[in-house]
Amino acid sequence: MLIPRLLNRVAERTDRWILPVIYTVTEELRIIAMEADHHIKERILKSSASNSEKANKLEEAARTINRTLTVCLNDRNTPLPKSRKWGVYFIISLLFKVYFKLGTISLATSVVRVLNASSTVGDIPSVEEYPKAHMVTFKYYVGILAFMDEEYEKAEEHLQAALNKCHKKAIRNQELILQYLLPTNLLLHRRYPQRAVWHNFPRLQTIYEDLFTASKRGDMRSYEAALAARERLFVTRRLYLTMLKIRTKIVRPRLFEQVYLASDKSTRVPVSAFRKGLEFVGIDVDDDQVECWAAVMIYQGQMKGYISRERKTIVLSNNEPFPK
Amino acid sequence: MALPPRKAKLPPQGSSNYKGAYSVVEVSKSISTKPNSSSTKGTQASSPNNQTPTLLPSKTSKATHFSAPKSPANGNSAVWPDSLKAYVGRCFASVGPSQRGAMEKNLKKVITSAIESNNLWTIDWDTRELPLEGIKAVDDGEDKLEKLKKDTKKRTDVKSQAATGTGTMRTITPPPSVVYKSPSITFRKSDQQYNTTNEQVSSKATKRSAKWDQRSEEPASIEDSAKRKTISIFADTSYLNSSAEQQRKEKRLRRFDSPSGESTPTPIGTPDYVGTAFVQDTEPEKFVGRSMKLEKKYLRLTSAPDPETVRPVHILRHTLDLLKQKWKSERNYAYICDQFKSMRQDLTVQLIQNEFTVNVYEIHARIALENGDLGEYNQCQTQLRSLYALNIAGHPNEFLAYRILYLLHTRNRSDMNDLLIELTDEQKADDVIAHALKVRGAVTDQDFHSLMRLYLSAPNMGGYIMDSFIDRERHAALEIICKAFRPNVPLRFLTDEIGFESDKACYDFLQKYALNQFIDESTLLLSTKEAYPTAQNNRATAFKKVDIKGQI
Repeated sequence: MLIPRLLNRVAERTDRWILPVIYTVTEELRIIAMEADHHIKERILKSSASNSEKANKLEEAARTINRTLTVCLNDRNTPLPKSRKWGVYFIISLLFKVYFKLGTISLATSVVRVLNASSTVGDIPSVEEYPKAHMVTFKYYVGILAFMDEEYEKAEEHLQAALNKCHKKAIRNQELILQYLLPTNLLLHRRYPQRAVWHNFPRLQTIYEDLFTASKRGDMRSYEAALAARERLFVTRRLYLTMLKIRTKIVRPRLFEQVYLASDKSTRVPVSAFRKGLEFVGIDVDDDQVECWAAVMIYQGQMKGYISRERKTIVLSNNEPFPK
Repeated sequence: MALPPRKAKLPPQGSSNYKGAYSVVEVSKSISTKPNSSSTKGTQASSPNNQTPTLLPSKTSKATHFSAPKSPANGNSAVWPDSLKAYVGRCFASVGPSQRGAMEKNLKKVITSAIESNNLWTIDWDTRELPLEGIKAVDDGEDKLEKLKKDTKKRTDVKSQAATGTGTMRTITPPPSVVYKSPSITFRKSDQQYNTTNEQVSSKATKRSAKWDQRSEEPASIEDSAKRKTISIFADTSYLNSSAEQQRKEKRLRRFDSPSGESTPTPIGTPDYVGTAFVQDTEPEKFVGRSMKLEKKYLRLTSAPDPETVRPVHILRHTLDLLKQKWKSERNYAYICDQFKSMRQDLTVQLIQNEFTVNVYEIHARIALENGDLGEYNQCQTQLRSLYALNIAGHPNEFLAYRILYLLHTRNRSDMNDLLIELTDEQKADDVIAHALKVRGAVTDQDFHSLMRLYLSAPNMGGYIMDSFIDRERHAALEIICKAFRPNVPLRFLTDEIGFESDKACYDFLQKYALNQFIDESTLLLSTKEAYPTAQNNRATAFKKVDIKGQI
């Protein structure tokens, strides 16, 4: 803890050459802090006595690294080519790592806000001018932040940018990016990954393939089962809410489409027919609920047509009632 | 353990010259009332470190004079030891008039801690060093954080320089805190370090180590050593961290002492770890009020709390009963809220965190909800979260459910994500939480049908929180209905789908938002196509912004 803090002080008086040193020290600090926390936790478990010691070394590391960020950001005197500002994105990415580990996402968001404030002033070069590695990590985390805020368009933009610039051989990193990009693409564009993706990323295949296939078919029952089996995983990776969204926005319309196809593409389908279709896959609800779901789908444009309350019928459009 | 009121300990007649020092003890907590403010700011700020060097020797002497006569039992007959009076005299004689305030302050600390550890009579005041810390260096204090960066070696050097520099008969300050934490093992290790770095003080340090060992075998100190039995694997880092953390803790403890303590300067002559030793050594002074009044108007504290106006717990219990009764009979929210706030304040300044505290916060939160006061509710919620985290019994599930609903109101998705991660299976199985989670699902899916049913069946006070966002969701539902249904929908249907208990209430709502004009008075059917633009507008306005009011 001491050396990084001292380094912060020293760095204030230097310029760009110090950056590699800073990178190494802060990264080491993060790792050591995690190790320390790990040991402290173990010790607390063993002793089981109530002592005041807390596993908060990583938090302290975060504070120190945050200070480093300020040191980098506030380089006002040196000309840009030699400026410490070239360290900004590395440090921010490192902070993201720590904050995600700590689960303090709000802090990560506020870092982004600080950064936006200075980059709009034109204080720091755009992220594209930085080393690719810095950019990819940064975009990855900003993408996830947007993803968690359910700003999927923004998430897609950043994650895609990260994937495009990601090193070919950095398979693990690509996998991490895709982990969020795949559901984003599904939700926004109903776009399914090609087989090659499953082949290259077996881990993603085990997570997603069943769910994606089920959603393609409108197979609500399999989707539910697959989702329940992965609930813990999705929750900890903050994917769960999005997978629920996919269920209502992607899977349910497919299910309604199945009913439409089963009634020979008739444009007038009684509400009860949809209800029976739902019942068939184990969803037992009343007609009003079916109407409500249908209304939401019509409202969101996943189904074209209207509901006649009087006749208890859903009147579908002649032309592509379930747009692709 | 509550300390008896300080006044009882006042001597019948003080040595006339130095009454000042005694009066410091008397008003120990209400510093702000002291007229002497010439150098108060500086001294207050540096106080956490000032008193401590003298503190440890006091412990030591406790060990050596263990069999010395105990101080007279807390209470009326207490007088000051003569040696103490002489000591105070020497203290004041050693400083100039400009430093008197600082000295008073230091003395106050020394004596208070002596009283607290019941050492007033066991300390050998004749040979005790004068508490000169900070007296000369008060003005050129150094940033605390900067101090932190100096390693042990540096500290020792600085300190010894300071000791020789001031040229007083000061004994050395104790070795760093980690040593203190684990007397048996780490002590020797860093004692060696101590020896190698500073020969001048080594012999004394060794002597002390012997005393400490002795002390740790004595039954009287079992409690202390138990507290410190943590032995750090990462001796060095944990030492630094704990010192930083302790400093923070200490600062927090003293936030009432010196409101201006934000940029506390540390006097150069004082090594910063002594602060650590202090906190570990003596329990934070417990503050107990003496007010016997049941009711009290809430007033935001701007200075140190006055024990005369703070009610102790047993009085507060009566207050709570009284307030419950009053709320039932009078239902005057403004009064009740004010009273609860003052109760919370009294609990806070006395550092009371137990089931009673939880009870107070829970009741206040519920009453606030009942009156749609989300801001006040949220304050309670924040406190309750940390109280529950201490495993104090209460109704955590009920309030977790409220929090979920509240997050829906503020539409805080990342916090919702965090919350979901922390949910355990048992929590999910709880009826109240399950209800809140279903509400969450319905809101995100825009499933107004389910949402309205959940709204009408909300348990506890959940309905009141849902009130805060239900209108918003009603507008969303109306927009969807107007877009999806053709050509019209009956009012009856709307009443059900946007969650009203009667057609009349539903009609009033539609009227308020200019949608009634699209209802055919005879058939009571709403023409959806015509109503759609209005519904769209209503929704857009309703979703524009949320009043967050002190978001957690």
